[in-house]
Amino acid sequence: MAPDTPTAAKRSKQASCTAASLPEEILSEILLLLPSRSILRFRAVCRSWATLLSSPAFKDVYAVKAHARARRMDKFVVFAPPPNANGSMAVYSCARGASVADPLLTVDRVRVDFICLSSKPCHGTMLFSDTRSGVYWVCNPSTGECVPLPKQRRGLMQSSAGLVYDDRTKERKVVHLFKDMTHFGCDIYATPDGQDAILCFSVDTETFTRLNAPSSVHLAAEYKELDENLPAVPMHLAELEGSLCLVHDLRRRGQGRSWLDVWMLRDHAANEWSLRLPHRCHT
Amino acid sequence: MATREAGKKMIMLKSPDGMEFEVEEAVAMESQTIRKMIEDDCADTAILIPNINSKILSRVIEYCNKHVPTTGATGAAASDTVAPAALAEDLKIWDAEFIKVNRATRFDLIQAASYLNIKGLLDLTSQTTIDTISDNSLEEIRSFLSTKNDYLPEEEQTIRRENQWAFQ
Repeated sequence: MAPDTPTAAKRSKQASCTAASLPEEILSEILLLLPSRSILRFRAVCRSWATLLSSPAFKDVYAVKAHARARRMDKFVVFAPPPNANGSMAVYSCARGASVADPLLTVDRVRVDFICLSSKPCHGTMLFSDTRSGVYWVCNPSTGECVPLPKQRRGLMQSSAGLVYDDRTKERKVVHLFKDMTHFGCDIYATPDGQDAILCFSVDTETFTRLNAPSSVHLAAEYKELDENLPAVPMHLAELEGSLCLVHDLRRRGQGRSWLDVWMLRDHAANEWSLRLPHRCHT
Repeated sequence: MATREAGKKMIMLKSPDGMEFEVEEAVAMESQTIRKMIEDDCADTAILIPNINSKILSRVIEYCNKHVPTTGATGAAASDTVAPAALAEDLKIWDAEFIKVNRATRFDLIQAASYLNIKGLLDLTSQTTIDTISDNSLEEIRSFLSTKNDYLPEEEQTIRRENQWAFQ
């Protein structure tokens, strides 16, 4: 058959965008190993690559693989002031035990000592807040993007936020709880029966459930004592060893106690907490 | 060497161009595809490996021979004298030497590793390819993988703008 017949021409057009002697399914397996920067760049190689590299299926598998790789690489992200810029913050990537860190991005108008990370990194992005200006930022260290969320009216004392990935809609969502001057939207800390509680939000069903805090921890009291000028937040929710934990920062409290109390949620259904061995840390 | 081969079950692998390779069953079972065939009892005499020519198949067998875990009497003696870390380091050096092949051979090895389902070989060949291309320019990528740029110039500019950070 002559190469310029319609069928041959059509076939060669279809094949024009696949690798020489490398089938497409193998090629896509290999492209999953690319660093994220190359993934973005290679969208400009040709149309079929752009379609592949932007497809939700590819992104899902890539996210899982990248997460596994990141764990093996044992790298973490550090927030620090850049060497010669005032009033801005730099994000570095650093390998455990290494003495040098690679700069990833710089964010203007944010000071490191006033930032507070909200929840754990999610699908490659992080949520943090500037406790001074009350602005939340979403940051993607691998693409160098950092965008502020719309500013709220009240300070962060009355607010809390978390970043989640909704697998059904393939979207990242920020759930923001806040207390308004006039309306009580969601009040996390003072529940009607006087017991401190944590409000849980299910992105799936968009419903709230309530989780009681450990009985010896009095969150509401902690927040009342907070000095407006101090950026420190005495309570943090985090994830440790796969379970929710409540970190109680006691560094500004009296002598003779541990500096950090770490409460682990042992059983979600039974609402059982246990205190991990006291942590001593040196700042 | 004679003691090692004595008592070991051997398997015959045939390439489509008529060559036959006699290998230890344990070596052949580095390939999950062949392992499945053996376990399902579909491989009593010889296994025909379609679409992998003798040149590539012999390289694949070479890889499996090197990577087969040493077990049994001789294997135990070997691991007593050589530390596992040193063994791993030795394998790494061997792998680096093994993968010094031209692009066509590497692509053939990737396809063979994928078909035969040999994870270590697939990881090695894929990662080497990624290391080669991840920092290449778009033009280099297109020529390396014989891919044609089917964007209009203004379309390519738009894509580049949208992903500007990656091009810095």
